[in-house]
Amino acid sequence: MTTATSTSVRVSQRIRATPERLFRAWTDPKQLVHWWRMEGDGWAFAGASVDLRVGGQYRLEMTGPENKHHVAVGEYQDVQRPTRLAFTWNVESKTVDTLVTVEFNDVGGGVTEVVLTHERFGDATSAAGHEKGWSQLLRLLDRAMQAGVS
Amino acid sequence: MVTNSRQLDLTFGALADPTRRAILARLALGESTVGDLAEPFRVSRPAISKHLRVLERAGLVRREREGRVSRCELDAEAMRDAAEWIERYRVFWTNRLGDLKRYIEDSSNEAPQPKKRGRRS
Repeated sequence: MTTATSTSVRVSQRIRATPERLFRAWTDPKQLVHWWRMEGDGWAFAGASVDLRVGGQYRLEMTGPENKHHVAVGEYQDVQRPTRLAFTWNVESKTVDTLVTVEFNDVGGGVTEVVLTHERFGDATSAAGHEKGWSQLLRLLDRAMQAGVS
Repeated sequence: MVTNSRQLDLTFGALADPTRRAILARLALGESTVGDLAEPFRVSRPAISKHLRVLERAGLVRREREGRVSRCELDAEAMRDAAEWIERYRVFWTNRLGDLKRYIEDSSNEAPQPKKRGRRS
């Protein structure tokens, strides 16, 4: 399906709205429930709580296929209304503590570009700073896999 | 999204250490004995063995004994699973941003934003 060339996920979307409007949609539980539905994925939103301050916690509850219940929890690391929001991301504390950063960039004409980066998949427990070694490793692994190792 | 999370924890946990990443990078070039592997690192051989055990548990490295010599080679399968897990998050977040766009643009949910009508008093 894919080769190991990326250590982080980065997606973006341009939306006709102000950064302030989008920041509110992302951080107000009453609004989250309206758009974080995941219907297309067979998931339904079950509830949210948000304590919007650095060090504050959030909790998103979802019901998945076969009535599986999942909870995404984390802690806000950076709150810069209305341009930047960073939070740790865990699914039921089963995965390593990864980091999600959402940026709301005003690109003019009433349009905001939302850029989301999900990272530290392999660097969660140690301080950042090994990025170079990490990406070099992945390049080598990628090459090895293409050469038929494993 | 949380399938195989135990195995993924092992994989990402194993990858979270610079020495272990360096060992993997070395093995990506070809198999090696434990002795040769330990040489470039400023750590003891028992310490290298400990790192190798973590990598083995994570399914990233296979170790075989030939008499007194231990040979190590890379097993890229676990790495591929980790990459797929990351890829699933790409789909997940792309869908979330799509939902946000639809919510904001296709409906006038929330109380409409005050538009600039004339000038404020």
